[in-house]
Amino acid sequence: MTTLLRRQLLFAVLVFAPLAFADGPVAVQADVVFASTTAGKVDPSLVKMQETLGAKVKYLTLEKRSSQKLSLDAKGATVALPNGKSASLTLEGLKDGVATLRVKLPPTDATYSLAKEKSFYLQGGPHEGGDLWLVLSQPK
Amino acid sequence: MKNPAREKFLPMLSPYVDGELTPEERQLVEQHLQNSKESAAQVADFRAGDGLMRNALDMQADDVDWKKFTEDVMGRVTPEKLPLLERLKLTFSEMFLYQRGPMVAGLVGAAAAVAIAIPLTMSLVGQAPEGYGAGRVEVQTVSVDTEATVKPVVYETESGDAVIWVVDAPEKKDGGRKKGGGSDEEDVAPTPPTEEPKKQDL
Repeated sequence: MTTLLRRQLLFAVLVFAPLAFADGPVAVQADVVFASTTAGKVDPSLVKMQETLGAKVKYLTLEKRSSQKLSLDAKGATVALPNGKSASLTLEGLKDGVATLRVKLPPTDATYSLAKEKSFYLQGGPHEGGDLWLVLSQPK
Repeated sequence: MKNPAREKFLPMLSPYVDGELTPEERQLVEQHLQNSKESAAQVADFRAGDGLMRNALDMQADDVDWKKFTEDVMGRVTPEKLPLLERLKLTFSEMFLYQRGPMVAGLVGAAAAVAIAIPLTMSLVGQAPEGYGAGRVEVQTVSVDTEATVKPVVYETESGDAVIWVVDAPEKKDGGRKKGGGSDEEDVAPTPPTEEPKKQDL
């Protein structure tokens, strides 16, 4: 086996092996949404959220206050809310292609498993006469 | 009065000036020139004439635009460009002729990389991103701080999303709890997708 061939095989292994076998960080879209029952505008991207929460509360105003794509691992990441609270997100585990996240948004502490194209909504407390929501979903 | 030697060397004077004689002839002419002032003067005339002629030609050459001449010459010298296919054939034949080892090794390496990359890519296409293998979001545990006067309400929707509300619970004294366990079961509107969340939770 020539040196060149060996180098090329090593390169291929180094490039593709991590993709195939590593439990890399999990990408999560973290949006902070302000919701209010007073009449207002609903962000077009939040219509699904309005329908989902509509079973309990008819929000008439939904505004995205922040949006970020996080890369979560065991070290975690934080998301600041405009009401002074801070959400802590960590990757608890990754088994059979399903990641489990732990979300601490005082006073709530929850763990949940991610699902393809599904969202997790966590109420983040009152703010400016409405509610803040932390919405975690699969990045687009 | 005729000089027989001069008559003999006279036809050689012009070739001598032009450098066309053999070394032996040249040596004989130079010996003759040392003995014949007439021949030496004639050689000097030839050289002066040559100088004048050269200057005149140089001046004429300066006046001529040689660009087209150069292009014509280079156009004839430069070989015609081969068609692409022919050039590729030539390139590959030369590579395989002179660099066969590295070429074969390179092809084998590339084939190995493709063999790894194609199945990997095929497996990734249409598959959920890393961590999103489930079909529904499932809340596994949920709790609140022990001193909090609120309680969480979990609502898992038909479409597979999950919602956690935090509602007032003045009577709450025992802090957090796990979803699906303990006596707070009614706080969780668990999984049956068709089940509406319980209004008293709010």
